[in-house]
Amino acid sequence: MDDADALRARLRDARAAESAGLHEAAHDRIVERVRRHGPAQVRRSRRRRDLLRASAVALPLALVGGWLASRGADQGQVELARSRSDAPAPACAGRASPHARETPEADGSRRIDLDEIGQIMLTPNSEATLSASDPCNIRLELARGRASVHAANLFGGELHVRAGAVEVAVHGTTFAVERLDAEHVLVDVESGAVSVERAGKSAGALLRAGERMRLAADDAPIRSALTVEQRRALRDTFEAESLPPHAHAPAEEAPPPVQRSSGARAKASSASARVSGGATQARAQGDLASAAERPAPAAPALQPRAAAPESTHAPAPTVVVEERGSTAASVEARVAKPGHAPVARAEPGIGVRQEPVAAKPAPAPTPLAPARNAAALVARADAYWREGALDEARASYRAAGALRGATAEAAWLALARNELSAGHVSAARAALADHARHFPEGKLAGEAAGIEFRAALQARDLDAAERVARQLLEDHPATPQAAAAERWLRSRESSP
Amino acid sequence: MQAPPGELASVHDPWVDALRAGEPDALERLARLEAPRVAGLLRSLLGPRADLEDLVQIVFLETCRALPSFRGRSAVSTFVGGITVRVARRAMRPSAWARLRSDWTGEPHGHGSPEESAQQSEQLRRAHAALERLSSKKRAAFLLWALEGLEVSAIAELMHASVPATKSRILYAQRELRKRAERDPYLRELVEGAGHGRR
Repeated sequence: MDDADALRARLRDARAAESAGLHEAAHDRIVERVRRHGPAQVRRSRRRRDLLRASAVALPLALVGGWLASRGADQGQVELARSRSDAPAPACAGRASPHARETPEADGSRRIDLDEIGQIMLTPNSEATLSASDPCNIRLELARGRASVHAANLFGGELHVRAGAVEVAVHGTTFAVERLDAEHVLVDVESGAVSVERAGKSAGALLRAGERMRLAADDAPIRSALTVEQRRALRDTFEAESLPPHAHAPAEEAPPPVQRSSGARAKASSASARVSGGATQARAQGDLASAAERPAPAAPALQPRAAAPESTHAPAPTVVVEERGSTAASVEARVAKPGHAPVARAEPGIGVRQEPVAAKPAPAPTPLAPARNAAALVARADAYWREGALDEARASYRAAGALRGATAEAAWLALARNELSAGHVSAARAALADHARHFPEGKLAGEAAGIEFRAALQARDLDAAERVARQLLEDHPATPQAAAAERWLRSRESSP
Repeated sequence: MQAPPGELASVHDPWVDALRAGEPDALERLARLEAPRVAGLLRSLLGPRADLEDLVQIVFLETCRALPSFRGRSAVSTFVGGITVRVARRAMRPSAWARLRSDWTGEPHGHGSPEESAQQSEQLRRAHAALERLSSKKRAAFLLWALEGLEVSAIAELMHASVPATKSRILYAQRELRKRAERDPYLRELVEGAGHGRR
């Protein structure tokens, strides 16, 4: 036996002399604890082990997926950057800045020629700042009054008209914004895409071709699809009213309205629309103040630039924007398709009036499916009105108004607005009377009073307008219509 | 079927399956079979300690937690032994509070005369004290070899180490013990035999 084995033997002897192992009682306690708590420990460990196994499978997959996604994103960015770098520059980039020439008109308005890009008409009470240093990004800041913009050819660039918090950017799109009542706005997009932004709301919404969005002041937007008839009607609005390029006069030179445009609708005071696409028609309407009766404005601060050469690009839209106050609610804008006649314009003081359109026989109304509810009836009435079938449209509006609910109530106001826009003041007042009869406690009484106020002004019945305005202030003091009426009353009292 | 400690348990042994499933009867049987051996291993590795019962219970608690991953490639006793060594090595580096709790206050229970028992107990205590300076791996390998009488290969399996590494650890521990014995008469008698006892 060597030393190691001897040491081992002696240590084992010493250990044998040590105390014994566990006592019998300790042994029993351990067995009992294992029996009681062991199964739970096993189950818990198994669950943890299964979870770890799942994680061991899922984590690498997630890492690989993330890596692939980032790789794809990188490639996408690279491709996007490449495509951007490879994309041909727009024609406007190679052009000189337009030379803005201001010409006073006989009625006190001012015309600004932007060479081939277009013209801007400023009403006598307007204050505006034009920035045309970048031929691809022409901006008009409208502080006050109304600006009618005819963008004949943007050469691939953009033309922005900003009035307060509302900005209209013209690229090319066919869409319509309709103010249904004081709080509700309807946006239809026929082609291109429209970004709809509401003042005070952080997130905007992108509407694509064939989509409709209904917006309210506080409720979440409701998105739906346009029907084939609605899209066709919106598209036909521009085609039916087309004129040769550059043939139409600026909006300020237009005679009194003949017929309300169907494509453009009033835009809610709390909403803004940004346009991107081809031909565009839009109109934003805020309060009802009379711009014509405001104090004389300061001269527009213009920044003329160099003249521009010719271009072969397609003509750009016409934009009409009017600033009617210091808030975003006082903006009225319209954009017409290039080469097409203006289809609606802002009336100083009272919302919307018609611009002249080429005399055109009213087409036969398109057969539509029978409507079963107020919304469908109103949609059908809108379609009839757009097609010039006014009798059928009136019948549909009245059929919708005979029903119950908010849409039925709004049908009477839509009819009144359309009649007023068409110059039918008495018919508009009749529709308002029907509204009051069907909905004596209606929720849109303030909107109805605003239309009645507009009707009185349009009929040159200033005494009636003053009476309605004061009643509006008393009954609905918190509405935008009341604010507009108050401004009108103040201007009337201050005038000699 | 009853598998005695140390025997190889088949992967398809119903008892092993029951252990993996956490059945109370199977776990109770495991505790009855393995508790004495676990206690002996712990006593060999750690020396006389007052918290032996707690450590045995920790060993079985960790065994229950490890059973779902037991693949049956070794005997159940080896599986439990490996866990015991791990628990013992952890207990070799106790906190101050744990050391205080584990101070041995019991009397020796030798089979010989009280004087011989006391001397052997003191020798073993000094041997553990001498080995405290070693790493837990060398210390556990040496004690398993010296006190438990296990073969090097068995120790290597318990400690999840190679045989050469285990041999090296045992030799290193012997050398350290002999070195310490040169200055300690009690330890010298244990290491060099009865003829070289106290002077």
